[in-house]
Amino acid sequence: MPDRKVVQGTLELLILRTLLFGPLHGHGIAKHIQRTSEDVLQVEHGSLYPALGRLEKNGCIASKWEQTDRGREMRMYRLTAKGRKQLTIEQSRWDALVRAMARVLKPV
Amino acid sequence: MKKDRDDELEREIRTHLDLETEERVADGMSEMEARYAAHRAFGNVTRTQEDVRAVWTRRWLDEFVQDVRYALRTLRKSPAFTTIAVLTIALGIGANTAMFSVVNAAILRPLGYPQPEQLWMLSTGAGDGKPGPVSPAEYFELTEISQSFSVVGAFVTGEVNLAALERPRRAPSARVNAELLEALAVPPERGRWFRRDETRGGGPAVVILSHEVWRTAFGGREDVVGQSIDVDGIRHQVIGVMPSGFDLMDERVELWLPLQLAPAIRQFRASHFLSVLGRLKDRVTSQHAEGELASLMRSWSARARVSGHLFVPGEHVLQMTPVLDAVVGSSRRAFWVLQAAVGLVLLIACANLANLLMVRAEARGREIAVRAALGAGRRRLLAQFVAEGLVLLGLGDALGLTVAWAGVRALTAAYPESVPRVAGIGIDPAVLGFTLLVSAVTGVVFGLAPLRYLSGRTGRLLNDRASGATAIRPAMRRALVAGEVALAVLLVVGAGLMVRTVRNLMSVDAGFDRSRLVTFGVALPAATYPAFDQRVQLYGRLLDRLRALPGIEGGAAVSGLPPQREFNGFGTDIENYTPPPEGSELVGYYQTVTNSYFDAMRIPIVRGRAFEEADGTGAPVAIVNEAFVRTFWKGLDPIGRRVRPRFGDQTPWVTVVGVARDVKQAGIEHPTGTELYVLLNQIPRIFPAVQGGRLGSGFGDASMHLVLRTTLPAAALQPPIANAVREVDPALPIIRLRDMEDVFRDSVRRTRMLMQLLGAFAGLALLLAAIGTYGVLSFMVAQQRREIGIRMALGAERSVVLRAVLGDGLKLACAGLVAGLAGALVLTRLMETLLFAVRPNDPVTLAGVSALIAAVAAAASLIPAFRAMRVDPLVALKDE
Repeated sequence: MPDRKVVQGTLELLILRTLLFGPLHGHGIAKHIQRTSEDVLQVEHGSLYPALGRLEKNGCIASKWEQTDRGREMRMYRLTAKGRKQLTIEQSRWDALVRAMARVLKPV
Repeated sequence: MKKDRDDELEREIRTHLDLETEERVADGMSEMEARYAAHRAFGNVTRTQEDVRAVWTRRWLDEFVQDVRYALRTLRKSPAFTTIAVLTIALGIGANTAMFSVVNAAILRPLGYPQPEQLWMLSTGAGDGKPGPVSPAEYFELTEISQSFSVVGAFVTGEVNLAALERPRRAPSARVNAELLEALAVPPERGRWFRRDETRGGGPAVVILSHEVWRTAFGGREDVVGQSIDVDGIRHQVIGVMPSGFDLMDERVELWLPLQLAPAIRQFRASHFLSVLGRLKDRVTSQHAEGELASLMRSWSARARVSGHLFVPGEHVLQMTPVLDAVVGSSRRAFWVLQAAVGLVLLIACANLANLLMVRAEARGREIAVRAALGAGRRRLLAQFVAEGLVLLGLGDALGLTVAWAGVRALTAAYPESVPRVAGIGIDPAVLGFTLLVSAVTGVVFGLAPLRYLSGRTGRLLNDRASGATAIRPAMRRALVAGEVALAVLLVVGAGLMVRTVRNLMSVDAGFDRSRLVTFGVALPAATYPAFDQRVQLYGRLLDRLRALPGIEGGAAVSGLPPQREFNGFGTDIENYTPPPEGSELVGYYQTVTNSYFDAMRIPIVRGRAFEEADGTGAPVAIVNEAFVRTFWKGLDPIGRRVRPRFGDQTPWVTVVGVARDVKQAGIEHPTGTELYVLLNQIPRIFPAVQGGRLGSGFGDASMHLVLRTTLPAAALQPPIANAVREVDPALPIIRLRDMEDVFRDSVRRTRMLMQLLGAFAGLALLLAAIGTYGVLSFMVAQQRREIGIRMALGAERSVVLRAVLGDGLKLACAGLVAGLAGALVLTRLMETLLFAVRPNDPVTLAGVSALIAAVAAAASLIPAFRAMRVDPLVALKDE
């Protein structure tokens, strides 16, 4: 179990990144993360919602109930201006971390 | 708002699961498989909801409120448990708070004077710490030669007849000099203090009122200063009002009168009647002052330029005690013992509660396991237990404060004379803080038990079918109960020792026959009876009338009522007695009596004769007690030898005509002091220096106690005595009419209070320990029903089962008893000074306590034992 769990904080980054392409509901976000990571990142769907809650509380995303094209009422999440800024900050922080990790792990 | 969010979340999760299911159906799963897979992919729904909720809510407070509600609901569902738990807490905390209120007010609270640590009581004594009054000469000399004190004041407390607006009544009063008010340093509310020249011989008739008298007698009128009131029949001008609650040490004072000592009184070096109080100079330490006092006493004669009646180490010295010590005195230890006793009661209550909560946690074990399996976090479950504990504590605290309030009221009402500074007792911030501290400690102590129980057992709880197997190690619970018994033993031993002490005190031979003896006091105001002869005649007339009443066999008047009266040590020349160098010949007690005193009191005259009618006009005679003979005339024949009170040059020699048996004067627990009886009619001849005047209280003639030998109780005598007194003087109040037995009881009232309160606490402790024993045994029997059933099915006798449970209970009690007795042997030593004629390791008490504990344990085990005996094997086995 633990090896598949997404580190907290990382999940928020993934959500923000996913929403960059447009508003989406919770299930869609989960599916997107799973698909784009080629099923490596298996998000336990339930854990998505507290993360969404935290992001919404921080003002990084906003939500609204909307009718989908298939006639279902869904809560749609979209990125706010603050969320975009947060995403760039988190993204560069992540990139720095990856670079650092790579340097350490790959001997010159 | 919050509700909406919860609903929305639920809807959101539902659609999420629907979508996931649909997708999987589209992938070819069956509807049921798909739904199951969707749930699996989602994870724990309940936990998700809780986590999301936690993001949005002010979590702690919210959850706490929720937990408290839940706790209230579950507690309401088990009223028996809740009632016992809350009552236990309330009793434990209530008793502690009440006791601490008393301790705080009586012992800890500083006195209501500025910088009270500078105030020291100066008294004379034999160096054994027992304080005695100071003579005016000693007082004046001290003020003249001591450098340590900024001011030293003197006072005498008493009662006066007060007539202002209403009918005359006795009012507690204090005669003080200006220096005393300066030392106490509390400014008057209005008007002024006495000036120094007003408290000299021949000063004016002025008075300072207490706040209370100003309110009641003068209706609080603004222009009270300058008005006048009648005190003992003499007009006094009001010069000031003291603020509310201003007392003199522990004495309530309604009227402050000037102490007007004439310079001539200095010649009576040995007449001790002043209380003396000094305020240390700033930056002078008490050690320095004590050192100075010691060196002054060594060179007193040279410094004060006096001779005769000087200070002698170990015999007659000046000593200083902090004023608070002088007020609280010997009661300090008694109150700390009581506080410790209620502390033990609280510990027992805690142990009981821990047991109760453990039983409850176990009974609810399966419920908790189910909730844990359903996704409730362990932290939440713990939080709920804590909440339940807090709710119980809160209810217990609230009830406990009520108990405390009632307890304080009951204590002060029951023991108004035994508790020092009783007026200031209340539940103040210090007491409230103490209560909160105690209840917090209680919460931690008993709250820990179930928490401990919860850790890591949920899985097993759910699996185990036989709940008995999951019980907390019963050893812990048994240890708790044994501990309760041990603590109860401590208290019962303490109470037992006090019972023995009081019984010993009450059976002390005081030297006279106290059965069927009734007594009361009269005080003759100086204005109505200015001359000595008038006073003597009044006592004579009064006694004649009283003796004529039906049911009265004899009567007499006496200045100081046994068995406890004020020490009035008096320097006396004694023939054929050579005092040690510089030593004093201090007779401890001068006693003025009428000639029928020894007869009425049935005090045996062991040598010589009693006073006779003819002595009234004859040569001065005296009777001494056995202690006097032992002290001054060891091996000599006292009859015909002479003594002379040092009361001026004209004092004649007085011939001793008899020796009376020792009668207690310093209290029944103290050895008898030297005593000299003189005849009331002879007072003017023996003390010519106070011609027509009055002697100090305790051996004067202005107020006397009447003792009546009777066949009737005091209550029945009230009307005829009131009649008789009214016939001789309608304005004369009867002071404290009571049986001599009551006087005795009263003289040991503090010891009796200690006995009664310790007894009450011990009873409470026993009850709690019995409940604990009962609870544990009941629980064990319930747990072992199956086992007992099997044993019975296999042919075990019912009596064997009964004996087994009873034996279990007694084993617990024995373990507790042994531990308790061992503790008692150590701890009761702290009580040694409070005991009388009984050792702390008194075998009778210890044996009695052991028997009592065994009986209580047996009683507490009996019901569970019978229950075990009646187990029906069939039912017990079918149950599982």
